[in-house]
Amino acid sequence: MTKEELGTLVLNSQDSLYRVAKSILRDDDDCNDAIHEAIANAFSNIQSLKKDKYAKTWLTRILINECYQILKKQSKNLPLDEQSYSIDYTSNEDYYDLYNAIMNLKNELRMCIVLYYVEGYKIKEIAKILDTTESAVKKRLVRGSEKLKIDLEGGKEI
Amino acid sequence: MNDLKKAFPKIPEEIKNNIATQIKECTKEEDSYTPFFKFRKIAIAALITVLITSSTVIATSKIYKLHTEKQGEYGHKTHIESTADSNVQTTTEQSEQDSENNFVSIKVNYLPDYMVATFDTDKLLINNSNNFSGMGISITFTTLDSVPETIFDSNVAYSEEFTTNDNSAVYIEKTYGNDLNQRIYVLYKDLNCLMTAYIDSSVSFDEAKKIIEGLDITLAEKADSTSIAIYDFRPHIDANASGHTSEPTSVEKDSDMPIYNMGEEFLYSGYNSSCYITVKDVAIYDNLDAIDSSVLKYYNINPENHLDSDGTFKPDHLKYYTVGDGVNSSYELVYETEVPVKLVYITIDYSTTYYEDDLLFNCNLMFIEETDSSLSIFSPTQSYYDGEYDTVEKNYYYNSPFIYNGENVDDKNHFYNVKSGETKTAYFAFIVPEDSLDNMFIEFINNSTEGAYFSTNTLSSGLIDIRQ
Repeated sequence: MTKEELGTLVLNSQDSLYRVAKSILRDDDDCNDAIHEAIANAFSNIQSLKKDKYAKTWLTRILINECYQILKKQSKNLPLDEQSYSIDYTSNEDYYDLYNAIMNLKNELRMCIVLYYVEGYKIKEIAKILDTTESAVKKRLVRGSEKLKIDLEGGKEI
Repeated sequence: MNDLKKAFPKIPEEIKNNIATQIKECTKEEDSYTPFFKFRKIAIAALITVLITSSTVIATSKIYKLHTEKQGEYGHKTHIESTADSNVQTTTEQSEQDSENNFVSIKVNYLPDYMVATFDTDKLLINNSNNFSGMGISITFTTLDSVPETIFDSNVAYSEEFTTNDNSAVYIEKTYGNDLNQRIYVLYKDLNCLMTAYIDSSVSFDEAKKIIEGLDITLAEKADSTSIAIYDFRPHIDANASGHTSEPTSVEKDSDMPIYNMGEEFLYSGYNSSCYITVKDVAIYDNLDAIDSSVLKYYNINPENHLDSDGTFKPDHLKYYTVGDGVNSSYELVYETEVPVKLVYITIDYSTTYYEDDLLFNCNLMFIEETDSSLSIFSPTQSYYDGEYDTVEKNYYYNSPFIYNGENVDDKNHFYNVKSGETKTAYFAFIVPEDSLDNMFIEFINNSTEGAYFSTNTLSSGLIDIRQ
């Protein structure tokens, strides 16, 4: 893949990259930093991408790693899953409860839900992005969906 | 689920502009973007250096150890004790560095011949290939900051404090169960971690100790093939707690839930895709011969362990227990019996109307009692004992299948590169009590109900009647 092709991929994927970053990091400035670093790393390591068709998966994985790096620096003594999200929600208010429920999922469940249902990745791809097994992804999707359903019971249908 | 994307905020214009600027720089000419990032990295490196150099202060430390004490007859509390030790010195430099790591990298130096190690995201699994269910040891790591002040274990039969590689450890053996009924907690104070090892009854304490002693554990910044995440794990949470108690186990026969017959084609929408499904055949056997040898090997099944001298299945041994409160009373065996079992071998066709690069398939077996007005899920073990009991121990998981896609067992429950209009055949095998053959239905699932209740998905997708 050439740098131009990677540049096009990033531009075409920027909405997705932002949503993935936003599902890990609360603050837009942090999302900006994570995306910035991810793009830089991707261009620096473009030769390590073996097949072009995996470029988006590869880029997403880099971004997730960058998000975790930022998160770790922010919360040295607080495990990822213990962080409570105080949400500054400025999007469509109709979906506030849904967004809130997603963000309050445990990190491992939230990432699978977002990558599968929001970003449309296949289970095999999510397993690669999160460096886990397909079986683990499936279990997390089930648990995440069930948790969302419970959290939203009486609220919006999902 | 379609609403999930709408729920997310839109990307701010500022970030879009930043990306566009960055891409422009990155693609303009070689390395034109790097100075900015190099500056950032240097700045971060400088910050770390400041933290290290400014905090390298020799300080008196403490010795930390795990201590466990009995509560009631069967309860045990384990906590971290500290004692002052003027001979041990440390620096705050270490803690600053350690806090940057969210993973542990593990080298497994010792494994018995019959075990194999695999790395999951957040656990190291050491599977016992001699055991039917493949259980062995499951190892997780927790940051000490998230370890509860007291780890409480109920139903403890035996406990022991010991040391492994100079790390303080506690061994716990539960009063009941074949499934991971032993625990080993190891305190890695230098790594700011607590290891919890869940150990199957088929692995001895001494063997587990040797395996744990053979682990080289270091902190790691990023995940790789030999690392697992350190996370917030609460060992005191009751693993037996069920979240499905309020789910329906009975439906009216005049409900909208579709019920299909064998040979009837129907459309199913699963995880990845929609496809047409037909249950082609259900066969009943007295042994494991129908299962492809590659599948037996994959699931670590040694037929000899499951067959009598006449080549037919050994009966399943059911043990019924009452459960005490785990502190002053514990598990008590109240009844045991043996029931004959059969192999149920199901052949199912999947067809798509468009190309599928990855078609996922799965199914659960459900045992259902039909009355004039309703269908009710039951557990086959309920029929063999009328007395009071809380849990049943058995040799087989009746609802969970051995799965084979007919081509490559390593593909598990996937068909890859299915052409439009192509039909693929999958095989599912269950071992069930013989008395339950006339209660069998299957559901095509995208969840883990394990046939225990009617999920929303089941109610809309329906069941296939395979009663024999």
